[in-house]
Amino acid sequence: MNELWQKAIVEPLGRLQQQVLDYLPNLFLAVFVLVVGLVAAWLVKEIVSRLLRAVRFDRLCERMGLATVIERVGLYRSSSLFAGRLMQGFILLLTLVLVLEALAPEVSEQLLTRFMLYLPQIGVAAIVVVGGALVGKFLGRTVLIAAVNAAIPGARPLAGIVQLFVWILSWVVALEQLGIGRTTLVVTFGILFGGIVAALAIAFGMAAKDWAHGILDSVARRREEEKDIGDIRHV
Amino acid sequence: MAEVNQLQPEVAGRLAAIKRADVLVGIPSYNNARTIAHVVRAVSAGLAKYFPDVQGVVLNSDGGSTDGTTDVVAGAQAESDRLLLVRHPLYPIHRITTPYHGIPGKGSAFRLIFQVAAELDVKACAVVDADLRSITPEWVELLLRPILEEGYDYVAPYYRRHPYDGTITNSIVYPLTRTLYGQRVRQPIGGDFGFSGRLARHYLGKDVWHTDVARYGIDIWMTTTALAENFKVCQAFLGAKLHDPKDPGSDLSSMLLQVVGSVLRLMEDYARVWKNIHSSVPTPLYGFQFDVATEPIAVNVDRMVTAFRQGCRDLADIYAQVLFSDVLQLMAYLAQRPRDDFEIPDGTWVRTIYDFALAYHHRVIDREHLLRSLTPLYLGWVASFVLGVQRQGTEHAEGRIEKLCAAFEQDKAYLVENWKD
Repeated sequence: MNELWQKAIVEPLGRLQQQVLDYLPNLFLAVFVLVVGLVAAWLVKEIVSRLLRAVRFDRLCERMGLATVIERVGLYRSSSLFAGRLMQGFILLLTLVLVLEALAPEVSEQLLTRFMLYLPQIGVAAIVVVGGALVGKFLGRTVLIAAVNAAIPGARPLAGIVQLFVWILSWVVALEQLGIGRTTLVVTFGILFGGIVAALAIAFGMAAKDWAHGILDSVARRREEEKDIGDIRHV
Repeated sequence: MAEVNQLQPEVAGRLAAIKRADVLVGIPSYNNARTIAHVVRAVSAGLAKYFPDVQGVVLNSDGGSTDGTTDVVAGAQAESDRLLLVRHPLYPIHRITTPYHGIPGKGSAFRLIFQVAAELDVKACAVVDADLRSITPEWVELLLRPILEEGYDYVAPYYRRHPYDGTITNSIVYPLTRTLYGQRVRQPIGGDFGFSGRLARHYLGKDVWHTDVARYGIDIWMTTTALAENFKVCQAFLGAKLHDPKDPGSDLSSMLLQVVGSVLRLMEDYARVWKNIHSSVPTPLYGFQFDVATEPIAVNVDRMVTAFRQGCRDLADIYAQVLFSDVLQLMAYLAQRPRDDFEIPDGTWVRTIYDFALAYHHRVIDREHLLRSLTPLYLGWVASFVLGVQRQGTEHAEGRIEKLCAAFEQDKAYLVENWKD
C-alpha cells in the first residue's frame, strides 16, 4: 500500500515538482522579458514620436500628402505618433517572440524562422499599400484639376474613380505579395474589372446609345465653350 | 558661372570676321514664317535710319522652325538691303540666322543672343518677338537709345493695349512685380526689350539655362533680375502691340503654370530684396505717347463665371489647404452670386494671390497642382474685371488696374509676415 502510494502519488508529484522547479527560471525569464519589452516598447514609442515631432516630421508628411493617408489607413491624427506606434508594435512583436523562446524554445524556433522569412513580404506589402495610396491621391488630384480646367462635368467622381482604381490595384498587389488568396484575388479582380469595362462599353455603345451620344456631345460642346472664353490674350 | 553653349562653327566664323559691334538686335523665332519678314525689315530699317554710324548686327535665333522661317528671314534680308534711305549707313548691317541649342524654348533662344552679344562686346542689345505685326523702325530706336545715350541697363516695353489684352499681366504679374521690387514696370513680360551689353553678360553668367527660364519664363526673369539686382531700368512707349492670333491649342492652365510659376520662384530667390521694399516709384518712360485704336476683343463672361463656380465647388478641398478661411468663405459666397452682381473685390484677389504665393513657397501641395488650380479663380477675376469695365467704360480700365496695384502694396505686410524662410 505504502509502495503503491509512493509510485502513484509521491513520485509523480515529485517529478512534477521538479519539472515546475526546472521550468520556473524560464517562466520568471519570460515574465521579466515581457515586462522589459512592454516598458522598452512604450519608451521607444515616446522617444521616436517626440523626436520626430521635434524635427517637424508631421509637417513633412502633410506636405507629401502622407498625413492624409496615415489618417485614413492608420487612424492616427499625428504622423509622428503613428511612426512611434509602429516602432512600439515592432518591439512588442520581438518581445512576444522572445517570451515564446523562453517558454518553448522548440516551438519558438520554428515560429521565428517562419516569421523572419515572412517579414520582407510584409515590408514590401506595406510599401506597396502606402505608395499606392500616395500615387492614387496624386493622380486623383491631377485628374480633378485637369477635368475642372477643361470644364468637364462630374470632375470629382472621375477623379474618385481614378484614385479608387489605383488603391484597389495596390491592395491586390500587396495581398498577392503576402500570398493571401493569390489566385483568387487576381482572378476576382480581373473578372470584376474586365466585367465593369465590358459592361460600360456595351452600355455605352448599344443599350444607352443616345445617352452616350449625349454625354460625348456635351463634353465636346463644353470643350468648345471652354476655348470660347473669347479672344483674350492672357500675357 | 554657367557653362558656355557651343556656337555653330559657321556662326563662330561670322562673329570672328565681324570682330566687334556696337548694337545687336535679336529675333527669337519658331514657325513665324507669316510675320518674321516684316519684323526683320522693320529692325533693319530702324538700325539704318536711327543708328547709321554704329556697327549693327541682326541675329535670328531659331528653334528649328519647319515652316520655312529661316528662308523667309534670308529673303527679307535681301529686301532690306534695297531700302530707300535719305542717309546711308556708314557700316553694313550684319545679319545672322542660326538655330539655338539646349532646351527648346524662348529662353534658350535668348541665351544665344546674350552669348553673341558677349562675343561681339556690344554696347546695347534689343530683342523683339517674331510674331509682331505692329513693329515699326522706331521701336529699334526706342529700345536702344536709352541704353546708348542715357546710361540705362534695361528698357521694358510700354504698349497701348486693349483692357482685355494681357490679363495675366494685369491681374498678377504687373501688380506683384511692382509691389515686390518697388518699380512700376507696366509690361514686365512684354516680350520686346532693350538691355546693355553689361546686363547681357550678367544674364549669361547665371546658371538658369536648365530651368523653366530656358523655356517661357525668360521675360519675367530678365525684368526681375534687372529690378532686384539694381540695374538702371526705364520703359519705352512703343504704341500698340499687335501680334499673330494666339495659338488655339494653347492651354490657359499651362500658361499660368509657366508665367506665375516663374514669378513665384523668383520671389524665393529674391526674398531678401523684396522684404525690405515698402512702396513703389514710377519708372521713367521714354518715347512720344499717343492714343491708338486697339482691335476689339470678344469675351464670354458667362463661360468664365461658370468656370469659377465649378472651381469653387470641385476644388474646394485644394483651396481649403491654400486659402485662409475668410478668403475661402468669400470665394464660396461669390460663387453663389448671380452673374450681374459678380465682382471679386481687390482685397480678396490680393489675398488669393498672396496665399497662393505662400502655399507655393511652403510647398503646401504639389506646385504644379497648386498653379493649375489657380485657373478657375483667375477666370473669375477676368470676368469680374470685364463686367467692371463694361459698367464703367474702357477709359477707366487702367485706373482699375492701378487701384488693384495699390491694394497689393497696402497688403504687402501680410505676405512678409507669413513668409517663412
